[in-house]
Amino acid sequence: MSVGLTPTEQVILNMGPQHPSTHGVLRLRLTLDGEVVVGCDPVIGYLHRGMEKIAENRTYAQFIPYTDRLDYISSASNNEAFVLAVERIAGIEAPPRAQYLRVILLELNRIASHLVFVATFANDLAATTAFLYGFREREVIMDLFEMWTGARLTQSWIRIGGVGSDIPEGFEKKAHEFCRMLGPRLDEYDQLLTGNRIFRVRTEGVGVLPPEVGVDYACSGPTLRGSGVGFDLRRAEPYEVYSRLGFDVVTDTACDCMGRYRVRMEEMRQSVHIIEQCLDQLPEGEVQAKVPRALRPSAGEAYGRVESPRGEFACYVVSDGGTSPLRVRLRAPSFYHMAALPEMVRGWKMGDLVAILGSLDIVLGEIDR
Amino acid sequence: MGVAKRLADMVVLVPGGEFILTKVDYVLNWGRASSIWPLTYGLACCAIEMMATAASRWDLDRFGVMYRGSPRQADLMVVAGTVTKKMAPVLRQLYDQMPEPKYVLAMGGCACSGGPFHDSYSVVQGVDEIVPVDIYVPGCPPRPEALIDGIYRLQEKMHRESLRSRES
Amino acid sequence: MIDNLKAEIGEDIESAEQVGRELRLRVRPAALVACCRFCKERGYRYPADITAVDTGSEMRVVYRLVSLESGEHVVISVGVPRTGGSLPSVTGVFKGADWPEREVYDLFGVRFIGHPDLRRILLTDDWQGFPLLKTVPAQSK
Repeated sequence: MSVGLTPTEQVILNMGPQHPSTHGVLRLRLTLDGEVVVGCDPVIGYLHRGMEKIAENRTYAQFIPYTDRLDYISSASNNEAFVLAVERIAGIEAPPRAQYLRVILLELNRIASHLVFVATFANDLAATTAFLYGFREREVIMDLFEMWTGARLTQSWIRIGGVGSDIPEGFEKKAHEFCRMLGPRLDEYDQLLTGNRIFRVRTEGVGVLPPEVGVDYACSGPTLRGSGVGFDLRRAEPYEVYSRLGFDVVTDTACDCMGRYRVRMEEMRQSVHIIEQCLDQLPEGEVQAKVPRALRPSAGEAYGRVESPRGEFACYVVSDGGTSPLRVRLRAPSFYHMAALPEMVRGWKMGDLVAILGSLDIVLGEIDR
Repeated sequence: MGVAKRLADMVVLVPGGEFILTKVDYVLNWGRASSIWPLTYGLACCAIEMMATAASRWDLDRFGVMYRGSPRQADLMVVAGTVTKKMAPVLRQLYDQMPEPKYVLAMGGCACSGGPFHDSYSVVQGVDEIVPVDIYVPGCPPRPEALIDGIYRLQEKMHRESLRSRES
Repeated sequence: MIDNLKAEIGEDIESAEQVGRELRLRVRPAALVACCRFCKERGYRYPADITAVDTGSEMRVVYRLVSLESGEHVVISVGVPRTGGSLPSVTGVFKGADWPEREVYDLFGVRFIGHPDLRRILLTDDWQGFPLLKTVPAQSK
């Protein structure tokens, strides 16, 4: 591109790994033609902690807290994927009350994660007060977690065969209060953000991901549903008690940043609906099945897939009959979304790059493992 | 925070009423401690708790703490999360870019000593292998109150410094 | 479907087994790309995962293809030697195979012939060795 008759050259710009808008330690080597991004080479691995190797050196129960630290914004979904795979190999089933409690924990994590998404996405687009709003709502969820599990962020409460403990006295009341409170707050966000002209100009039509490309890159979750593909693991391969709960699979045909944002906003409302159903349907009973202390599942393999707030988070566990897994493969949705980023970003300007990257809602902990 | 307590030590009213006498050390330390500007340097899970500490409920801004994106404008590096061998040179480069006086706060088990990744092939066992650390805040992740306590102790440490010898 | 697949690449399929919703195939490297393309044409367009498993005695690379319409999985395993192994790349069939193949190379050392840009992805460029192999000890201080 030449500005008038002035010849220009392409520039390679390094963005990250320390950067306020890269959502973690991500490095992007951008090839720029003026302001326009013509090439993007993401460099990852700055948070590679060797989780898969560590798994081979821990017992099944010991590895659960490590799974929390993968997608650390919604830790329960990581626990769930690993536990699903292990329970499938070992032939263990969690009691009904535990299954409902797991769903409550998972959906609360989903809302907390989407609130962080709204907070950081809007913050990246310079709507800095949205950061404070999002975290304000999230603190109520953290209170609920702390009341139940003792931990705010990395709960490790989904264990093999059940959950760590039953919900305490007063939890149901507080959870209902939260569900009632969130709806009007989300309406507030809609007023301030969704209809906001600046927000719309920066997100509508930006970063288009055509559905076939999304499927080819194995994108999932809101990233793929924002392109109109109604793929939600809670309906496609129901786990726990999702088949007994009524909720919509939220899609949006816009394929752009705004579409992905709208999917996540609506998903929060659906999650509130799910939590209320679970609280109403919660049966009495045990919260933990009998599981041997040193669990030795029979030799075999299983692939536990979970609809995490980011997409398909899965654990491929291979057991050889010992107390430690032979191989644990952690399949993270953000890894595949990052692979699709260069294609989505080509031809857009630097400012749009931030919007596109933010709309993917990546977490480096799960990309790098 | 500590100014009201310290005022009696910091200033002496000169008879006549128009002047106060104090030490340069006190004033400098008070200025540094009351406006700590950390670098936005979240690595992993602890970064989320750091963000929560800076957000609505545990507002860090009321302590004068304002996050800066560039190391050239920051005087505190809060290492929040696991430091990997790939990230280590970057961390050192950022530390070197910060102007003096600079401080490092190791937040979380991983930054303090490697945390749960003690036998990983790619994790640095504690950020103090790369940069000198002033304050260690343990936890996995530490609660926001713990981080605020860490910053408070850093302020206490700053108040103990003097132009003659920098405590490190 | 398995009969049609056998008709196409019959002699290169070492084993085929239906376990739940998974069709588990073991194929020889020469038939890998054809097998992937065959499956993609029949609706298995979502390359959920590509990874490797080193059991200590043998190593295999595992490709998991999912059909979003039917919800069925095809899990293709290909045996590779533990050192110096190589396989044809399936990036020509699935664009989403690019990064997972780089990761398998990075952590296990399997080279993918025809990959557009095979270089390390998670570890530093000058890292020696392939950490997820069983020959590398689990604990390293």
